[in-house]
Amino acid sequence: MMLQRNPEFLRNVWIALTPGRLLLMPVILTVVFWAVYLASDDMPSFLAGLQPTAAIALAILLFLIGLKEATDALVSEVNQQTWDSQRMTAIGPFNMVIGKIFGGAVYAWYGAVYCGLVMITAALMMPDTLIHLKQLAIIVLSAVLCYAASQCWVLTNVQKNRYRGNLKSTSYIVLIIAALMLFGIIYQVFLSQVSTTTTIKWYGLNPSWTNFLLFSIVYFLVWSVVGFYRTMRLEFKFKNGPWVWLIFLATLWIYGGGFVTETVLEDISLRWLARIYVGFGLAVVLTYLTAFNEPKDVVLFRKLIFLFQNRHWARFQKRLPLFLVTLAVAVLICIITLITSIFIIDAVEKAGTSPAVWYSLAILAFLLRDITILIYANLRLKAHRADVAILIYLMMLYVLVPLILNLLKLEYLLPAFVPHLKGTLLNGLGLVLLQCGLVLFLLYRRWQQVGEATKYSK
Amino acid sequence: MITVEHLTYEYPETRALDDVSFSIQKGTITALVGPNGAGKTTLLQCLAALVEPLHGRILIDGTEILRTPYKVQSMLGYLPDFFGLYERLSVQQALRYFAMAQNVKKTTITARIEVVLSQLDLIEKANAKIESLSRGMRQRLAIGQAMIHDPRILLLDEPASGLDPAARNRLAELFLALNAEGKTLIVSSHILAELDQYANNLLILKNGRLVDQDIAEAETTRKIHIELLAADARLETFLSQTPSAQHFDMAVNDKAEADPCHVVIDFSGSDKDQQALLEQIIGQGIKVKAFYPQKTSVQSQYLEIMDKDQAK
Repeated sequence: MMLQRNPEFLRNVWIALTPGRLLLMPVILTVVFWAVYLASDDMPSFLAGLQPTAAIALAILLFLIGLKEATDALVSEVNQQTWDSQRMTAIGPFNMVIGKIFGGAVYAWYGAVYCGLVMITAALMMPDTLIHLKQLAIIVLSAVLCYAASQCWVLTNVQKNRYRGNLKSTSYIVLIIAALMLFGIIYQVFLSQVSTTTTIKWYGLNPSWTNFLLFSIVYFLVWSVVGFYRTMRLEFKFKNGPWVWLIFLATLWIYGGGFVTETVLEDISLRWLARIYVGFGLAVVLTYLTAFNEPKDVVLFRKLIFLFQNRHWARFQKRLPLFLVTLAVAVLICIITLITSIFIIDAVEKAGTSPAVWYSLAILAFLLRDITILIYANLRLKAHRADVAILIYLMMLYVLVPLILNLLKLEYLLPAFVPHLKGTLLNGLGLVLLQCGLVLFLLYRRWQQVGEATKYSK
Repeated sequence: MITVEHLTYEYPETRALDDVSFSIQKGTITALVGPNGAGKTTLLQCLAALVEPLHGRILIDGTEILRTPYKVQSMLGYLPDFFGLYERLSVQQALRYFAMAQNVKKTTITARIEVVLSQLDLIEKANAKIESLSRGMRQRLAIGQAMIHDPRILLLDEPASGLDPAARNRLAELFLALNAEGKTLIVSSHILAELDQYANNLLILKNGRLVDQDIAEAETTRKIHIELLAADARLETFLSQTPSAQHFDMAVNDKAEADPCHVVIDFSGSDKDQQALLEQIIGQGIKVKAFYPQKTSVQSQYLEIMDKDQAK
């Protein structure tokens, strides 16, 4: 469906583009550009000033104004109770995604079109036209990336907090993205010359910083739109399997592994081992991210158990939360790292009894412990703020406890509370597994308690 | 039209629907009643495919809604209990948005909007901003949004809450008109007297369960009034030999006296049996002046069923 026939986009146009606002935006921007003209001596200096001014105006419009509008649009749909009516329509997830990305911030996009045209005109009249056009593409594409990623984040929060009252403000997202905006502006205005001459190493390639940034933005843009679309599908009661997420993990692994080049590690075997560790690290980080962001209530697990017990495998895999899928991937890569370390790589084989071999296994044990704690906290019947509480608890566990152990000169206990290269099989893995066993036992007890409580509440 | 099989829905704290099964015929208006927290809103949300049950099936026209929710949702219109409106749009814009969103043909959108505005008595407010509408008008617009794509089934959660008596009456007339067009309506409401005006089917939920089917079936026993031109002993003889007439007695008139020309029977049988009974009485040569079932209010049915359920 074209944008002009997208109902969600049109609804936003009707609301945001009133005649007064339609007039105001070009007037303000023209005055800004006119001021640049007045401050310039001749045409080349005007163009040299106009290009960064338009770039900064574009970045402010898209990141500072547009991003907040786009994320708030989704939050207000939920808080003002119009979201269920939208979910009942035949718009479909894809058109809703497009409508939200471009419609939620339609006024910012309106100004962005003007700034973009000014930038293109100036670029065509200046030397290094292609570089300026790439800069424009970087700002616009990174804006779309930020809109899709932040709206996807908001939507998973909607799913996590469904029917628990109003969603909170998304200012924290805006703060994170504002940092990206500043980076964009600084990059555009001050570092553009450096970035075109600097190259980076990625696998065997040496692309310029600008080209690689553009490639990276396009890569993450595609996946953030896919992520937003897949999350939207769930809102429209379509089912998602784990396969697209697994493909994303694989491509991210390939992307991240490219940074381990011969300049980082000369030995090709160790380089590939390092790339496997990159995959393991990404899987661990993404398990934490998805675990904190996804719903983990008792109903989800009851549903999974019901589907498992009744052997509805197709529905079971479609119901699996992404954090469990990512955890499984982390376990798999951990096994690969162990096998590779012990049996394949000569350099590591010699250090087969070294505690470093158990390091990835210890990290995995910590991950299992933390995820179990997170599920345990969310299994409470009224677990509204369980994730925040566990986040604080884990921060204390990883920062305060090691600090205290250091002060008490009990360094040999450190590997039991924080992943440590000097950890042995006993204090680096055994004690963490013991913690895992304990929290698993507590989880089992809570599961039984919750089952009883629900039975009596019928 | 709608078949629900073993529907169970859970919130983390409670089981909102517990093994609920029922079916609803096409072209009926079903009153969905029950105490607060009985699971009415959850049931409607399940029927609207907005939430997914723990287990169970919902079939609408033979299609399982959780397999193809988008297909079924085009047949449905849903008015939530707490609904929101796009305050900065005009009434017409809001209806146009939902018409487009529901894939109403572009060439018919304007005509459809006019029909809905007319049905909801909102023509004069077509260009008014939603933020300027009264509570009743907002309620009507929300219903308009739900029915803009001319759905065959309307799910309405407390549609009359906050409306004045005149507005409620207009709403009842609208429901009857929609029903006359062949639409199936499920209306959840706390105002039982209001349901009397239009409901012809009753669904009672209590603690997430449908009130015992045996009790509900007992409600098929209804009182039938037979008024005669003159007292006739043959009627008593005939009724005593008719199994479907479980019990009969003379009605009491205004002076608290038994009226021999007015008999009330407890009749258990289908509509066809009822017609046959009338034909047989007339066939006996008994001069019947009037023959009619006693209308039982939704409220009294509800209270009676709930009492029986309590006693069980």
